[in-house]
Amino acid sequence: MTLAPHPLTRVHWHHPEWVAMVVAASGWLAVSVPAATEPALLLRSVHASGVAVLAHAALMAAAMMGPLVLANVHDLAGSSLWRRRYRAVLAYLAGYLGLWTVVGAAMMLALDAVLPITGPVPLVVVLGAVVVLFAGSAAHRRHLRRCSATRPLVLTGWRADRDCVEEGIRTGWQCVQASWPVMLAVMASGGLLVLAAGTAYLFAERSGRIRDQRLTPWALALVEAAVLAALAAHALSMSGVPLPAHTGH
Amino acid sequence: MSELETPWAEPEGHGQAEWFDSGPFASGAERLAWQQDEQPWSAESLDGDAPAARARAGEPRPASPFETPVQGFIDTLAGAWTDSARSPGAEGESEVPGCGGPVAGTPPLIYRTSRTDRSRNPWVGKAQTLLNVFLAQQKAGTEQCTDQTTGTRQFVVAMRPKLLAIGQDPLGVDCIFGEGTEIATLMFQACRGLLRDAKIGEKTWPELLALDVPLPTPTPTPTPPPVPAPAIRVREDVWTLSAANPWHPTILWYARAVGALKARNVPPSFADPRSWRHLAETHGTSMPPSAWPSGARWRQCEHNSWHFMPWHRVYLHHFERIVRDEIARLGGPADWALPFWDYSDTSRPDVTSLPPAFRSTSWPDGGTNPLFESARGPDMNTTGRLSSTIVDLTDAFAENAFTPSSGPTGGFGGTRAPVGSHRGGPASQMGVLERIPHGLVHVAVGGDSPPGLMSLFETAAQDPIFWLHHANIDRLWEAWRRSRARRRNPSSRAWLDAQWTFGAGSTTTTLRTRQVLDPRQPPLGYRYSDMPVTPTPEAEAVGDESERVEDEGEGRPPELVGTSEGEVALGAAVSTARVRLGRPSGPARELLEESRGLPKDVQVFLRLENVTGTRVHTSGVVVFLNVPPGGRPADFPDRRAGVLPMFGVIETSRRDDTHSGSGQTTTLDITRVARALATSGQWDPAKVDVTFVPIPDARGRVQQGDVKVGRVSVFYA
Repeated sequence: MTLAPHPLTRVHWHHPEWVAMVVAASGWLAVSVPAATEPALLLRSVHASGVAVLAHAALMAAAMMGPLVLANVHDLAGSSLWRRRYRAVLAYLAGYLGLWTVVGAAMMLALDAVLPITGPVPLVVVLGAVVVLFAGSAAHRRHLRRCSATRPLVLTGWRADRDCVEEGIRTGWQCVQASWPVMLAVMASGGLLVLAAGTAYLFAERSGRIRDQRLTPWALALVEAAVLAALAAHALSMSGVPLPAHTGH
Repeated sequence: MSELETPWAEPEGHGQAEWFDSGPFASGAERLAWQQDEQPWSAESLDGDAPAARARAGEPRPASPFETPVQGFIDTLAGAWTDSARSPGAEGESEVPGCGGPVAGTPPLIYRTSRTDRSRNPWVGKAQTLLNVFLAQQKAGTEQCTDQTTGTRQFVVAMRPKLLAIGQDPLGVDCIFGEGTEIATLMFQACRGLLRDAKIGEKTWPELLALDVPLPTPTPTPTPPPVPAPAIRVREDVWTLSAANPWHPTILWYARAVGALKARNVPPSFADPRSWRHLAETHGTSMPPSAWPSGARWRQCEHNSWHFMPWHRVYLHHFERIVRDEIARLGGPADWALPFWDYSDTSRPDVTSLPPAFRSTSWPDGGTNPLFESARGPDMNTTGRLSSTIVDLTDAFAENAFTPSSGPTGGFGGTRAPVGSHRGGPASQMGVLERIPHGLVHVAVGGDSPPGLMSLFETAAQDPIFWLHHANIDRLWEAWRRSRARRRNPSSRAWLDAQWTFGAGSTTTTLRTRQVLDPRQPPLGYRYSDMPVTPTPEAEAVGDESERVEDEGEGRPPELVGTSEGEVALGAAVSTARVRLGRPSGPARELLEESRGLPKDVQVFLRLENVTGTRVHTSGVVVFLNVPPGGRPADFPDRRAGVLPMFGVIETSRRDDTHSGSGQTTTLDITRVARALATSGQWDPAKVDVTFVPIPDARGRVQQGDVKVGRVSVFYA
């Protein structure tokens, strides 16, 4: 029998990953709104310190990393009891994004320490080289595959919640190992445009839309975009256009 | 239908780049030397032996796929010789036609060199003629070798396939000391107890001249009119061919081509895209990418997804073209087509064993049979048969949707997935045809402990039977599509636009799935012998209107209602797991609350999640539901839920750059079994017992393994 449920019901039934999409969209909204009044943020990010670093890292993690686990979230929800579907998804996202937030904050602090010494353009060039070299490596492909791994989960009780959080952390750790060069390069370049390009690249490689053999050329294209953005930001600052201080997001 | 397939000759400047540039030499002259001295596949055309042989037979010289300026020069020479050889009066007892002069005086020392300015030597022509006498006597068994030791006999026998592989049995008399002449010289020297140095000098000439016979007078042979290849080639059933003659010409030419392709294997990188291993590694390889030859497209096989069937169809097409090209080069039929192995024909019990030509260690051409492979399952090379469980098509042909858009199963053709994603988990599942018979036959033929070639992704295509097995799977896809009018291939662009590229350089084949949906149409152009050229209107119209059409929209979502307690180890004996079921709370709740049994509209699924292992114990396990305690599962065929194959379990359990390590996940539609149990009052809505019965091998045994099911779960939808 073919049913014709309401579109919202259909989303609820068949696409529980909408939760991750909403989280990602919220992250993008939060990091994009300031650019409406400060267009320079398209090329370079604002300075953050203290607790704000964690907040920025959390927003970046939600915006960039949320879309990468839509398939994982779909599988996880489908492997959970109906009444626990969204609870499982939230527990998973908490583990996954929590790990990325911590790692992202650490990356920001590290860049804060290095950028004053090197300047953004040389740093982006160096990190870009790492991105390109890493993209074609077996280690990169291995971690990419592991990002989509699944394992049997406990069905009910606190062990079920624990399994979901652990699964989120496990996926997140594999993602960190697969994507750390891209994240560092994007953060060093800063700016929403490169952030969006980096997200698109990561989503395409994670979902299999870029075949393994094509990862390096696409990574090179991303790096070129990041370098161009850094050069543009540098040129603007040299021409006297005021830019926010740069320390990553 | 537009044909976008890359022809054998690539666009200028591109076709040979990947292939030749990977070689150690780049310039024309150096490349010539490399090809002559190192590459058996190219020696044929460069020696001029084979063109000469073709010219004698009146055959047109086929266009070489490796056309180069140097090649053109050589071909010009070969053509000049061909012309003079055909001209009356050019022959004579003391003159070898086309060799530039008579043979007179003391025979010189002749041998193969790498010089590029080799002129035609009439003494070489003389030697080639005499070596052909020797080869003919060898073949007829009239040659009495001086050296009768076993080692020498084995050496001579082992050399013969090499000659055949390069099309030099008999030698083409072209007066150039090429690879074929060198091999024949070695055979002759071995036979006569001479030093095997491949040089014809003062010791070898007297022995050779003892065979002297007047040179045959060539008679002009009328050139037969070219026989065009049929528009649609026919893939025949190998067992039908075998019944007439175990070495039916179709099988024999396949064996010869396989032998020739194997002769091109040059370890460790197997760079020649027409070599047997290069073709096999395309499916899967255990070699790290760093060891692959330049431009190789290896480890490409699509499994556990809806791309399984189209990918293998193009793979077979690529392979078949190379084999057919090879057969034509060896002088075989231009319309050769790959046979299929229909092991499911219950009217012919013999067909469940390997065809005789694949089991025999010997073959008509002498030496080791290229179709024989020792790394197969117990008794498969003797009397072993595939059990009826392994070759059963009931499950596959009971499935109506290629890829269900809703529901947790893989349907007939596998779950929707991006190309090459190999994700693992519930999103990456085999279709029924990939499970049975495909997966079961793989492991049953290859053996499980230790796994033979056919049992693993990375080695399966090295066994010559692989290709006939997959031709049958391809045939079953076509048969399934024609069996009901409403059984359709996916219409999604993600499936239709998937692009597949095989080979390298001038052997590249590039096709999209949408180009290969009808095998009768170009660029494929084949059909199966047991299917009419065009489907009858009756076959197209037959359809059961009561069938569920699952791919027309998203219906009710599957809802998990229970799982096993922990993982389930699958041992050599029968294993059982209990799944405790809860009450659904999702969309299926109301339907189930209103009924005490299983309502008509409710479907039930059994999912076997994360099946992992490093050592499989069987080709597959049969899954039963609610077998009474103490009962024999085989006594309850109506409680059979399906089959879980072991093919791919080892590979998908590895955490490497191809797989996630999640193992296999398979979902079985158990609605029919559950409903039958409910009707007889034996469906307990609170629990279901799942029994796993391993399929014994051809000797009736089950090995020890470490395969386990991560979780057994039940879904309502």
